[in-house]
Amino acid sequence: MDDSGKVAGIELSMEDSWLELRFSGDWSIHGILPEIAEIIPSIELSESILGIRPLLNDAIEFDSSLASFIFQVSREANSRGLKLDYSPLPSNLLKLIELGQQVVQAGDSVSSEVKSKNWIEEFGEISVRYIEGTLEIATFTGDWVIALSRLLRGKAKIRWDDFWQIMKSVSVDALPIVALISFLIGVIIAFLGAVTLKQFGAEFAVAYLVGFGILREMGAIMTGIIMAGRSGAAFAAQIGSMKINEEIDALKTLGISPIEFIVLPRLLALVIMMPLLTLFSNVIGILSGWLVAEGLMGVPGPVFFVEMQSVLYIGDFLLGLFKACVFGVLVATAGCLRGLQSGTGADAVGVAATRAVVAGITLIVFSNALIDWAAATIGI
Amino acid sequence: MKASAEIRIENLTMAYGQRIIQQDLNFEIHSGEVMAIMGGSGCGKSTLLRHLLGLREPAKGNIFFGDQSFTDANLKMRQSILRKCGVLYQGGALWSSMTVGENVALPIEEFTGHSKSKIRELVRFKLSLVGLGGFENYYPAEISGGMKKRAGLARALALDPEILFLDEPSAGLDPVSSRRLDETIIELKESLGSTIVMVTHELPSIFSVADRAVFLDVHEKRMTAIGKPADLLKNPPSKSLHQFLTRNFTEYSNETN
Repeated sequence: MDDSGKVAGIELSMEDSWLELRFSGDWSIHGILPEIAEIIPSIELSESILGIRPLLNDAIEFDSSLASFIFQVSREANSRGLKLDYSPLPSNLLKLIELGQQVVQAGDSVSSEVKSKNWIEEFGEISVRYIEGTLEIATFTGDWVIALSRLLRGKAKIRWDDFWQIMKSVSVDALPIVALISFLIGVIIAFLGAVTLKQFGAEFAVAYLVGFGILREMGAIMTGIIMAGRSGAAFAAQIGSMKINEEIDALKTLGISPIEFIVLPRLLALVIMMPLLTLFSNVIGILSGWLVAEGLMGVPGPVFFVEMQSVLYIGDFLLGLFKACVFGVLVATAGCLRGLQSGTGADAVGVAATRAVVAGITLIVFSNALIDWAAATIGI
Repeated sequence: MKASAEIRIENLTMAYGQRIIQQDLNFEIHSGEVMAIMGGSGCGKSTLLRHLLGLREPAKGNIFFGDQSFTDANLKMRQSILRKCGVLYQGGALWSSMTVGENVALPIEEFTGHSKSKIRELVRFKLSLVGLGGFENYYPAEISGGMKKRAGLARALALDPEILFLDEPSAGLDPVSSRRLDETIIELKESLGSTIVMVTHELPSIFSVADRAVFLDVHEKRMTAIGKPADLLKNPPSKSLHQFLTRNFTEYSNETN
């Protein structure tokens, strides 16, 4: 090894059956430091040595990096039953080596042991987590149903100021984005109709497509998805932040139910406003569909609306609003639950918000299929 | 061991907008000493630390690291100065998405060319210095508050700093953990020879760890005392310092014994 200039160097020699390691050069963190593996062969080749003795050259520069290397040497020596002679070392370096050898302090606590798992254990853990997650959802749903019944009996501790603030946030503040998306959805459906129906000379039927598509399905679904991304994520982030700040714990210690205080205002706000937002979405979507039908396909307005009216009935309209109510419950549940399940790290709130959006959208699509199947069975 | 630096504060005034926090601060921190910056809540201790780290600009005055003006230095020079410093933040400030080992390794990876195995060896040793040997693979969320502090200290020591800044190192710790941390700081100071600047209002730490202390008065908005903690306790030059050091609001005499 190089023993000149600023490079860290080690010179090995034997003295009275002791393997001496003479350190020289720059042994600081910014130097070029050798690996312990480079001297292990020399230790192994040296037969019948009593022990290892580290020494320092006079011109050496060092910091804890040298202590770290000697610490590694001591581990190798101990594993081979060799002694160590630190007597030539300066006191400050000795102190560092001693500090590095201290055992884990008594009382140090960790939340879980890190150990490697095989795939069966991993699969089992995931399955258990999944089942526990499902149970949590069921428990949470039961909790807010109870809270709702307490509200109806006038016993719930709900902050009405918060409720009105949240109502504004999930309604008035959401109008621009709902309008934009609904307009575009109406345009897309009408274009879809224009492309397909023109082939059969049935342009007027675009009114059926727009009417059915918006009132029964897309009005509620798109509004639900927008609210999942907007309000569901916001609920999760707000509640997650409250959890990190121990605000939820403070409520519990005062005997105030976090479900009544935090979840209920959000749930009520969404359940009330979702149908209204969906109604708004329906109007914008149908109007934009009409604009495309008249502009692109030459279907006059009166014809468009008369044709639409002839195939739709009140059940289509009410089904869409019913779905909106259900989606409101699902988005609020997903957002609030993910917020309450949030961890405490810096990325926990972001993770909670993402999980809320994914859960909300998944539940919307799944429940929409169920409702459609049920409606078809009943004959709606 | 390499020589540690000194810090010189000249006519420093700190303010938030028009609100003066402390004014006309003048003192030196000597090479290799432990200097405690003490004072009541809101006196500007942590604000002073932020000025020393370049996280805030002074309203007036200058800060020198050795002969180099930190206040007037450009970004590159400042970064070069700060690379010789290690900082333990109040809550540890560990990056939560990285393990304890990865937290300590990051400065070494960024500013040295060592191999992965070398970095692993150095990280293991740094953690052993603070009594966390073997905890490399734990995440910050999985360890206690005291352990997070010590992991933060290990990270502050990653590049063997010439100057170590400690922001309220004992905050949130129980008395036993606080004492252990004080002992670790003393042992590291004796072995590394670093200059240590400790922002604190914990009296046991001040008296057991600090070589000298500077007192920032929250009412007068200036430094009213500097010296060895024992000397300041014996002859406090002001009532507020007497109250701070003795937690006694009634008795005060500035006559010497």
